[in-house]
Amino acid sequence: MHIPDGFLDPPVFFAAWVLALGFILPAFRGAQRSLGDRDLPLLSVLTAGVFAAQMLNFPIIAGTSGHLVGGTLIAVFLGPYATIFSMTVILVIQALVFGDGGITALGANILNMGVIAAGTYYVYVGLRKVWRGQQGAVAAVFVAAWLSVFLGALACGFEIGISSAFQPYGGAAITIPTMAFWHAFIGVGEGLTTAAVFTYVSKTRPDMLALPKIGPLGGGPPGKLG
Amino acid sequence: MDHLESWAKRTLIAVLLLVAILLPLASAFPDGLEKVAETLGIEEMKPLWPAPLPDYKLPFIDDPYLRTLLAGLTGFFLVLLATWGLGRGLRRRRKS
Repeated sequence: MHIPDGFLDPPVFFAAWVLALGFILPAFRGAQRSLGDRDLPLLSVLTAGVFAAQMLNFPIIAGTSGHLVGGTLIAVFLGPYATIFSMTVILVIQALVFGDGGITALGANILNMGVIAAGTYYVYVGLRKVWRGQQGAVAAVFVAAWLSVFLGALACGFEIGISSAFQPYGGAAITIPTMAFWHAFIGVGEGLTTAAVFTYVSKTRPDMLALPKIGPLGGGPPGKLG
Repeated sequence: MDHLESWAKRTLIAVLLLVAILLPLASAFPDGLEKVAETLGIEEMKPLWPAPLPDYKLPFIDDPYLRTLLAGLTGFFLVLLATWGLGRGLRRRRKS
């Protein structure tokens, strides 16, 4: 879902940059305030692990593939600001070192894959209030992770759809539904992977679920499953 | 329960091994966005920034598995160091 250079018109990528910075700056300030000796190594490991996992494209249907984004995964352990912090680092390195995603579109990519994924943290927290126990938590993780990809794809479809490169082909009326279609499938991969990692960690290191979460609304969800 | 650090280290090694094993199986199909652009017949332009390792390939290695694996490892440690360094830098500024 990394938008390359040339897909977005300057007003679109400029607006996306402004909007993204409106979330990046508070997230970095939140990280500065709250990152402790215990969670910084963990955040670094998680971020690097997500980068590596993003290289593994899995096939879906009709000659199309997808890969993990990982934003919801980081949010579940360390909170929404941690997601924005990590995804910003990953996307900057992907654009500058690997040419994956354009430098002009970087703001939009951080918005689609970082900020929106961070927002799904609150879906996860809300669902866990309704769905109890380990199974409820795993289901909540799955739904939040699926949504992160689906909503990110809608945003991406909107951004490219209102840009001139896509105008001759129907604009947003075409790009939003087609992005939604493919990413409804790709999101299932995101949901399954995130749920699997969550299950592994909650079985081997349940204390990791109780780490303090970095985010605008203060404290995180109940650490204990139940 | 052992220390978080050793657990994280073991998990990290497991993740790297998993990626090394799964990398040859990774799909070369276009991803969702590339598929949309391809279906509509939109060509990607040359990136504005000359990235040193485009497409996750080390330029001076011929073996397709090795060059992607080594590019991935490079990126992995870059991301690890960048996150850690940035976090440390921010925290140091907090104290002063």
